[in-house]
Amino acid sequence: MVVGDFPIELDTVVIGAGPGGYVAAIRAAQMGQKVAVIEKGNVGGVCLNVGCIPSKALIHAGEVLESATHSEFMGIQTEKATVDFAKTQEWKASVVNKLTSGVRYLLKKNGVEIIEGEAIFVDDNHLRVMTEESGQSYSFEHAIIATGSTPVEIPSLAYGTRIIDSTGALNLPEIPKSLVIVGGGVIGCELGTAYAHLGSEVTILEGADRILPPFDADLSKLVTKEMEKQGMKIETSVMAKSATETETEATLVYEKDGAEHTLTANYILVAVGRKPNTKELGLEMASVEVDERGFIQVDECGRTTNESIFAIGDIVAGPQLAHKASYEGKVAAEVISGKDVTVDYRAIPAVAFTSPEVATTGVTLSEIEGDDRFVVSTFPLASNGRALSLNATDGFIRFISTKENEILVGCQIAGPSASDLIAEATLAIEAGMNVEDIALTIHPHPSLSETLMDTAELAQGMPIHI
Amino acid sequence: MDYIFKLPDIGEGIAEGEILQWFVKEGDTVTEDDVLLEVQNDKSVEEIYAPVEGTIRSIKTEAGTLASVGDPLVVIETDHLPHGEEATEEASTEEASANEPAGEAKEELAPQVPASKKTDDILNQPLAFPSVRRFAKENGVDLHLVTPTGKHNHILQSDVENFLENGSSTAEAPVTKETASTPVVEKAAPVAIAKGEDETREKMTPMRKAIAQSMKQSADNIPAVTLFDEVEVSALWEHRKVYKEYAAEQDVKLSFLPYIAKALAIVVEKYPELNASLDMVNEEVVYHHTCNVGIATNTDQGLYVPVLKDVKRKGLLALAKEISNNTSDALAGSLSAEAMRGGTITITNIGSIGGGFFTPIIRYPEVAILGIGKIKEAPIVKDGEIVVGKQLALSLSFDHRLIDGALAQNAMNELKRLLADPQLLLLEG
Repeated sequence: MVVGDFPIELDTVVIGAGPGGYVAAIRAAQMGQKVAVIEKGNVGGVCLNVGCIPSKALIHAGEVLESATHSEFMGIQTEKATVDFAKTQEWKASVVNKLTSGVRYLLKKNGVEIIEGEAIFVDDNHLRVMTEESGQSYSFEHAIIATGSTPVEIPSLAYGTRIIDSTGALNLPEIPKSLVIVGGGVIGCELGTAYAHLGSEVTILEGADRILPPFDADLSKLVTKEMEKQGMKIETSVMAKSATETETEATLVYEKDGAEHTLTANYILVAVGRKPNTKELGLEMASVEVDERGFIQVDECGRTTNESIFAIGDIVAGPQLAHKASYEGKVAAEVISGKDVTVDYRAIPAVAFTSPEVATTGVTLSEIEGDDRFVVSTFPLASNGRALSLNATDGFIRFISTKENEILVGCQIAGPSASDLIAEATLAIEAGMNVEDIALTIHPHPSLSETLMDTAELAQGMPIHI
Repeated sequence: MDYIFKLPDIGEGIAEGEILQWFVKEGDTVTEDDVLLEVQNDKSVEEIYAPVEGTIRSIKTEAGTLASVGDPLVVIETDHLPHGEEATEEASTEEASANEPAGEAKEELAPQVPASKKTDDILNQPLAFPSVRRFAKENGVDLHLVTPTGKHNHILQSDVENFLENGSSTAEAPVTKETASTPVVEKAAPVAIAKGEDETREKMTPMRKAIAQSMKQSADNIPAVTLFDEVEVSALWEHRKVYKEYAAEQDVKLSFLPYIAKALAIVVEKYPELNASLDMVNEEVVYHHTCNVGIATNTDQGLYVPVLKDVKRKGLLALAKEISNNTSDALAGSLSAEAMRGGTITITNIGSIGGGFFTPIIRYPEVAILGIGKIKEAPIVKDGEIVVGKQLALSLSFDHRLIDGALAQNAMNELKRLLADPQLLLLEG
């Protein structure tokens, strides 16, 4: 503390107002605490401002254009579909604004104070919030760190105006003629697909032997096939070496099969992972320990090595997903409020909004392949009426269930609305249901959701529709 | 590379154990199957062997502390990982260099967990709705201990509530069909004892907790009756006196216990209900075809019950030898879990320290236990005259759900007949 600086007292302070932090703040307030949330950027965090939400807006815009120009087979012709990208960006911004102001409203409604500035711990129960003009100290009973992550920067591919990260790629002023993406993970594949639909020539370079490496191979194969049909180029098992940029374009040097290649495009998007934002928080002053990769170590309640400080979301171990952060935020808030609860989930769904959408929850095929204690049942989307009427039959639903009791333990989905359909499977896994429970549940007809019932019946050995 | 060796599952449902001692220290080299440490779980001491060869990097759980299955015990630097295991992640920070593949280091999915461990966990996890799991957590209930009553062993909220009330759930103590005439007994949840002055508190050892739990399980589930009886054992006394020397020559200490175990094994052949269990879930009587006699053995650490397997087929000397080996193992704290498994009936002896009649607690799911008191000289009437006899006190507790009083007394009479005339053990054993 600075001499003469009187700290303001708070019960619970949440650092970061992303999907982890704002949810934690609201829950703590709902449970009777005096809560403040500190945000150095925009309320809503990466997810709402430069992540999940704006990318889905661009992806949807791309899909609308794509269907406008590719529906002749059903008798729909467009004279000339054009894109006013400035307007697309404006619409995207309005979506983001609506959501972030909604979050501000929710925080206010629950009596959560929003403090703008950058937080830094000064000791075990004090922190200082700095703005450009001033600083203020706060004391707290409990703190929840929810500072999220930022894109990893590779020194030889340093970000500039033409070498950009995911935030830059979401905010391009125009649709690039050509776009090279280093990193074929979820972010690279989603943004690549969006710009390909909008008309860019897109090349994705991936270090592993396939794109979307965390998903099962058959899911990434389906997506690869569709991308190539779309005209995208995919290079796997390559190493990006360096990149340079000029005023109008950037050039990438990469290695494949021992030979060096170059690629020039309007933009190079580098999307090779995200690192936890834990360096400039003064954690050492508050006795909060981080591991060698910068992740904060927490127990099953989210408690750090400082008993009164909790950490949630991208800065702790586990997948870097908004919904995981929100879940952990609620648990931490409840623990602080005196409830004896822990992080206790059986499945975290993960989704890629590619074409087709892919989603996975619980165990993956690669985790159980060859293990005869599990049964794998795969139902093709082509056997579903609603999929046919959507002209979207490339895809499947796969259940992984235990052999002994037919308990559902994993599910993968490829196809339209996979991101929504995966929720039913996640609920079933979390509840410990078996395939009979799903088969006996009436699903609406005609809908894509019927495929889950069909897959359950397939697992029982009595499929009606195949 | 580093291999983190975690406390393996060392026995049926044993979830934690106390690290008794380490036989290695940091920097030591070990080869596969070297003894690393000793762990005391509920009722046994297990030696844990090195799973790989290598160098001990660091010991993660000190002697004297309690470890749960899955807790890291030791880090071993090794070139040979056990099959299906992965090295600990020594991955560097995500400062990806230009030479790294252009893939993403960590994006939106969980890092891959070694499949074998993860899938095993998935297959072993208790089934319960998230809200029920939370209810259990809030009430300090380990779902692994709750008996599920739902389909496919699904644990319902009522199962957790039953566990809280009874320490077990309904499946183990189903309501009988005569519920109407059975008064309902309200059982209170465990209550903490208020802290007072002039007292000290010690944590219960895992052993004491295990004993408490199994005693409560028996008391909660078994309506037990105890028969007291005496038998005149002068002949047995003489027999042992004669053959004690013979046994000693073979380095075997012959006590009365082998005789009694043998006699009991003969009795249960005639009265198989004593060597049975009750499966109330399926409403079946389980008859055990082999008579495995547990011998309750007192030690400073607590009570152990090593089991003499298939007593009927073993000779008295073999039994005597096995009993003394078990006793010395128990005293040394080195009985294995295996040596204590599989009991079908139990003998408990307080006669050796001067005890008489008592009401032993049946070891659930067994249905009978024989208590042995001391052999004392007493006046008895023999052929119309008072003579000095040697009277052995017997206390037989039995599960009245399965065994009726007359059957128990008939079995007791048979036991007395055999003990009164040890020659019969030879004829009928």
